[in-house]
Amino acid sequence: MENFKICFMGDQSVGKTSIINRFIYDDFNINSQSTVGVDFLSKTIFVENESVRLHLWDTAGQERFRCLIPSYVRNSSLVVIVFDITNKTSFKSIEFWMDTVQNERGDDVIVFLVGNKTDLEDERQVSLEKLEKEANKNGFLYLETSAKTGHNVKQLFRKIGISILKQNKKRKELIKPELDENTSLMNISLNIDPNKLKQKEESGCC
Amino acid sequence: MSKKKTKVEKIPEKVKEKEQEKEKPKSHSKKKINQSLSGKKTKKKNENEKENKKKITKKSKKIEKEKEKEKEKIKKTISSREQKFLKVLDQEIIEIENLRSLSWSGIPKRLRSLTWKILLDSKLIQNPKINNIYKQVLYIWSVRHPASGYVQGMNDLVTPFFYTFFQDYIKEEQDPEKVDVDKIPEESLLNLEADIYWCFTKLLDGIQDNYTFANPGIQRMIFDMQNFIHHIDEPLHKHLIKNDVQFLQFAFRWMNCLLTREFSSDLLVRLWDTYFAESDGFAVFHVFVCDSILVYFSKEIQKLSEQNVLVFLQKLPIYEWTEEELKIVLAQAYTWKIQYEHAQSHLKN
Repeated sequence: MENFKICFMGDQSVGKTSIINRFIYDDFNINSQSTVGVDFLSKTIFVENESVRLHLWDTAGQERFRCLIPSYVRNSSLVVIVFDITNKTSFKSIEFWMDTVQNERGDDVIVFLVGNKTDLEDERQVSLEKLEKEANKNGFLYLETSAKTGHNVKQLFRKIGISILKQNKKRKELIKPELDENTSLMNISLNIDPNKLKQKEESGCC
Repeated sequence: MSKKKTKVEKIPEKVKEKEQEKEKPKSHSKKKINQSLSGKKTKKKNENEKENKKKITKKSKKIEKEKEKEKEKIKKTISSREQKFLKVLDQEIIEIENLRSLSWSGIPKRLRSLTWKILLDSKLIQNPKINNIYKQVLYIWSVRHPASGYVQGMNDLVTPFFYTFFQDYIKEEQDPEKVDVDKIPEESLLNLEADIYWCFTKLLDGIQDNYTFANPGIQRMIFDMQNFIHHIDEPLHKHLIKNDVQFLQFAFRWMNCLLTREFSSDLLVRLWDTYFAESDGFAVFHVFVCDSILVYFSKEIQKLSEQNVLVFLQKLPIYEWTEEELKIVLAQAYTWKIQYEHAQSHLKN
């Protein structure tokens, strides 16, 4: 079975932990404790006739913990940036989180923008159109969810699974023809992850 | 007249809003503190639900009613004593008195962990007056310490002070959870708040660089912790590296919250007894304690592989520990401290 790392990030109290808890335990806790540092959970899902094991890194959103985050982005297959649709500031922060991702990975990672708390429609400050525009501008995937009611949470992880598998197949196809042409191993490894070498040079926190 | 009145009311609201805008991080933090305070309770309830859900199996999750029926079926396959417990634990609001009287003559093994957590858990800190003490202490502290401000997890550090000093205001034989807070004089509550504030401040004075930009204190402690493990238990260190586990991934919370999230409140206070007795308990001795805990589970950890190592480390089975296990860990930590305290720089090479 293939394993994939997924990193959740976004401002504090937008619902990163709650989305993950809804997905893993089908549960919601209105008083969920603040995440300190990082939490780690994993679950196997079944998409398109394949089992996929997702390793979920649930990072702390508070500013003081931000310098930890690049190390989690470094080897993720997919990054989920979460914001709270009732909190404009958390939407504006997307830019910061995107920079964090791009500094580490360039464009070599799938990004999902998630607007959480659709159960609070009355307090909405960010429209779906805005999210759509922001996502399309960067070629990101996007979805609105409610960890409280469970709205779209399953779909989110289904979509995550599908896009990860897609990307994985693309990469494998990249390797295959080269194997036929007897190219050197060096070239293959470069094709698998062109940023890997670059990352090693740039490592270091804050 | 009425127009005027509404106008007068509106202005302060606007000002308030503006202030809230300005102080967003703070008000945010306050909200967070609030949430965290009552967090433990529901978390435990969740675990209960989780357990039930596991038992429900994965057959059909379509309709709530079906779930209930299935739950009933499964209940029949377990012992009658467990059933009694589940009946209490399944409630939306758990009757703590019923749970206590059931637990008196022993808790079924499978439900012990959960029941202990609920029995130890507190409704007390959710009391508005008590909750307010937490808010005031943390808010004033963060205003007076702008270099760090409120950092998530600091609320956990208030709890040991609260429980300890609260004892001064109730009768010795009284269960703090059963105290009627409204009967405690305002002045006593203010004194309590002041005691907590000053002692909390004193504690954080010694470890403030844990909470400033880039958490240098925590980074240093984790660095020392890892170096020591490398020195004292090389197979364990190798195993962690081989499985791609970084100390920062599991030990960050141990340092940030000083093990308050890992130990039960009773045991934590016992641990802090020793920390206070040590000259640099929370900054230096604490690292040896963390090393000691890790080495305690060395064999167990080495049996695990890949992501299971991290899953285990994220949730070490120390919440159910008694003083016996803690004493072993403390004794080991103390021995190491005596042996190596002045050899730290040597270890780093």
